[in-house]
Amino acid sequence: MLLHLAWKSLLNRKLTTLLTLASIACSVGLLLAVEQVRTGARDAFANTISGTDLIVGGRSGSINLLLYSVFRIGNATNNVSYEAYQHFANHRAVEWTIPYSLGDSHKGYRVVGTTSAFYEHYRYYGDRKVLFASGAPTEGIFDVVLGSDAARVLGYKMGDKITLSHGMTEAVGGAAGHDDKPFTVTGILAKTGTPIDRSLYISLYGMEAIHVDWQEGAPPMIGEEIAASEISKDRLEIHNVTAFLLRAKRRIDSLRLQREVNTYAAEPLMAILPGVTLAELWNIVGYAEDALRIVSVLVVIVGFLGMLVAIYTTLEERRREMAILRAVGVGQAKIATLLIMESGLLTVVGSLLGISLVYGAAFAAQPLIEQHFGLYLPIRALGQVEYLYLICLWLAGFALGVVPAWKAYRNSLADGLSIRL
Amino acid sequence: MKPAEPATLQAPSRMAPDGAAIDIRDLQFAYRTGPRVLDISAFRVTQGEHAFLFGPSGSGKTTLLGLISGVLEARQGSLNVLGQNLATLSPAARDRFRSAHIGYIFQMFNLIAYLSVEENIMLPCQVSSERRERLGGADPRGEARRLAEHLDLGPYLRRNVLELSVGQQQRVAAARAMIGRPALLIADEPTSALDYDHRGQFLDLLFAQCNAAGTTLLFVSHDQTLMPRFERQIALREVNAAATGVT
Repeated sequence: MLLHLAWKSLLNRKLTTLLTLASIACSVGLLLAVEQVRTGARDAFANTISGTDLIVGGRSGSINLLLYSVFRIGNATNNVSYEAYQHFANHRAVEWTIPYSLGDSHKGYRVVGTTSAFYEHYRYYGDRKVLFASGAPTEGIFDVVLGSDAARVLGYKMGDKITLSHGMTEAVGGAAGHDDKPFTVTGILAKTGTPIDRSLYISLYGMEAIHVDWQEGAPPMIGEEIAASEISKDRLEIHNVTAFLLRAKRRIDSLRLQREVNTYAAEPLMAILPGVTLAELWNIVGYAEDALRIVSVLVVIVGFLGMLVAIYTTLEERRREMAILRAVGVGQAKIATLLIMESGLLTVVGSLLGISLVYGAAFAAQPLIEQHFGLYLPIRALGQVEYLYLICLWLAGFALGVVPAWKAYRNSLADGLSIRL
Repeated sequence: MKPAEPATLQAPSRMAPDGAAIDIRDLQFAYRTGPRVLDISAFRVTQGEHAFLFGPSGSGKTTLLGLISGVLEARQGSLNVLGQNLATLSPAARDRFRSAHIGYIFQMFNLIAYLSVEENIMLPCQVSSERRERLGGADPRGEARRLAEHLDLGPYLRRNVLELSVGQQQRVAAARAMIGRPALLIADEPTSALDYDHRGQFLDLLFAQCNAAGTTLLFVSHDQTLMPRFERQIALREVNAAATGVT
């Protein structure tokens, strides 16, 4: 009965009710959206790499190593010699390794020299493999496989010829470029939602080949170039890799292997546990996350205060209504309950609207975000944290109703059955 | 307007053993901070009576009605309504008692704006299970329709109450007060917003409904032209020793 009355009464004040619902829906929506983005980003972040026990690179900062090897951000300061790589790749305790040779780019997309091990062993989001949308792994020296974003944005098809440039700068006219050695697109990867999508993949031989005539990191002098046609795999010698991913046969060995890498006598190397370093990195990013969360909580508080004001200000004009209800025999406690129900209803309906708003927006925005930022935000069902939020919000909504309820209680005590006009 | 058929006479919701709908003895009342506003040594309305209570403002009408309807608490003296001493009941029990046995009509603005005419009339049946049960298994909606027909409100049941004229609104209020046959109907200046013709018609309807249900009517007004139509007249100034108003 009371619920019915509360509902009718809210409907009677359509505009105020709608505005209040909108403000609650927006504030709750923002809170949930922040939570979605936060956990979505964290998931995407943490799931960029899995199944790898150690990442090994030249000695530098652990976060730096993680950034350039997994996220393709920043640059290595030191390489790993091919001998050292071979040493660990053939180590008794090692199951597989994926070498990365970095440093070149194509139109802003990084080029990764690697081996077939990458297509075979790389895992993300638990146990997902790198799959091909079309084509196959690189075979020839001048074959290139494109990440899905790179292929889509640059509009390349199978069989297209592309040239790479040295470093991350856009080389023009071959000054620091590899225009003389074009690559043929032989494969395009399926979407992974990770930085893999934004890279190009060639073989270690290919990486070596484009630098074969370079001296000390500088392009060859005129007349000293070696033509692509003269290069074959057996004439190439791989000198170094930038980093490599490593999987131990038994996970328990990874710590021992890490120590072994870190104390490798022949050259200064460093091994990191990806999970640990991801967490370290996330802690840095986490401050932004906290700030976002605080702001969204504040917005929710503002939304709720708006509701409180909206209900409270109607009380004066509703004294007549209360007196009528009293005359019909509605107790004062029930009058108070009526107002608590109104604020509760607004909160519940408002937050349900907020939820649909978030999911509606998420489904609408997901392809756009992916297209423009290359960031794949997974849409997931409400999690424990969100349910906890919602329960707290609903309790708060009902609790806030106590304020107007108390006022109405006092009013009806003072008014009794006399109607003040 | 059709009067209710006398053949449908029914018992009211509650009969006092001594036949008194209202029996007040030695009642004194003051608001918490104010002076004494009521001092009534004896006041009695017999069950089934149509009583006309009049008095100027300040004579304590509002307070007396608040006490009889159980909204105010009588702290001194005895206040028996339909054989129940309200002074011994808790506020919640008085609310229940009111919803079950007392109909109330205000001077004006009797209706809840966000409910339809029908929903306004049915309201007491939703508040009080006793009133609902007294319909004898009949649907409150059907009973509301029946009352509305008697009060010439048939075509307006689904209307928004704000579309009704004042006279129609007062009739809706009467229907709401009478649904479920309460034993006591308190009407607090219900005709003061009506013009002369409508006053007479409204009274006819009210009497017919009260007679049909055996309901005691306590009709409060300062319009003494209506007085002759009542079988009993009470001047509150003569009953209330604490009355301050001037005639």
